[in-house]
Amino acid sequence: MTDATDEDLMMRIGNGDRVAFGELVRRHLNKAVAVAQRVTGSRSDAEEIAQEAFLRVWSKAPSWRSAEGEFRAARFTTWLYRVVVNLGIDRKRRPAMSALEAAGDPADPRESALHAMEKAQLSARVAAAVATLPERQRAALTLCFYEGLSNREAADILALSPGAVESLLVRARRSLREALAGVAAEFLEVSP
Amino acid sequence: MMIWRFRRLIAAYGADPARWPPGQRGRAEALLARSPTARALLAEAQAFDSLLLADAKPPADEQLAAAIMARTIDLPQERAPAPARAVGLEWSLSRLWPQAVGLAAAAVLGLVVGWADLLPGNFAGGEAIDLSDLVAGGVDDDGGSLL
Repeated sequence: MTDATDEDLMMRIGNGDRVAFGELVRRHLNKAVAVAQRVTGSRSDAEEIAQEAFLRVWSKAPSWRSAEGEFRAARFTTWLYRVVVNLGIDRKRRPAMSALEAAGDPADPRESALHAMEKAQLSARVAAAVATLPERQRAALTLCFYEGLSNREAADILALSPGAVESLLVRARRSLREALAGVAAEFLEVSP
Repeated sequence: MMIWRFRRLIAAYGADPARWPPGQRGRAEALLARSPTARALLAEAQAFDSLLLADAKPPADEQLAAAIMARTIDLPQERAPAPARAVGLEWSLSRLWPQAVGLAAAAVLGLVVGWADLLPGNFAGGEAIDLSDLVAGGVDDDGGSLL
């Protein structure tokens, strides 16, 4: 099962194979949540989006076998990320429901309290800066920089040309440099 | 690769060559090997990448995976669209069967007529049939119309 490609698993899921579905969830849930969290800026929204995306995987898998065009031609990850990014952008456009999550993620209890707090604060400041980017810049940065997709894969997901993705990335990083200029100075002082 | 292109490359993708487009990676690394300016740009980009990567996202809770699995128990799968059918033969048969029946009936009738004409009695005493009699608008022996 672990040797099977994502596309093989989709074929099995299309036949109602729940073991194959569990394997696909295991492989891609973390990335789906991370992408959704960067796009929306909210962990709880990201978890809901990941659930919605995987429920779509389950319900639409039978079409994977026989469908033509966009659904079947795409790699599974391209299709999944496209669903997650689009759901995230839709969610982000809604009015914000909670400001509590701007504080960032809970600290890892294994780290010292002070270091964990500094790390959490730094993470929250970077996340806040990323959250201010226009949605397509944020999505391009998430896919290419944070998730390591090629610019061609990101272009497929965002329905743009690779050149357009590169332009989005340049603008995103330039904006972040400006937004994080003070943070960067502090960070460079304390980091080895 | 020119330095301006290298500057644009790391401005977009950062300092890690793994993130650079594969088609440009080799030329960028060749430039790095010979250009101190490129190496300085790379070092500066590495520091900024490290800052951005401080925003790490924790892995998904295992309960989330369990919740997803649980929600699919009662969730029906959409039926796959019917596969494309072999339209050629099926379409032809469905459209042409009345003609096929007519052709078969004509063949049977032809056999019956042919069988009747071949009977010995017809050769012996039967009258020859003028086919023109059977044609609408034909004329009889007196020149009158048969109709």
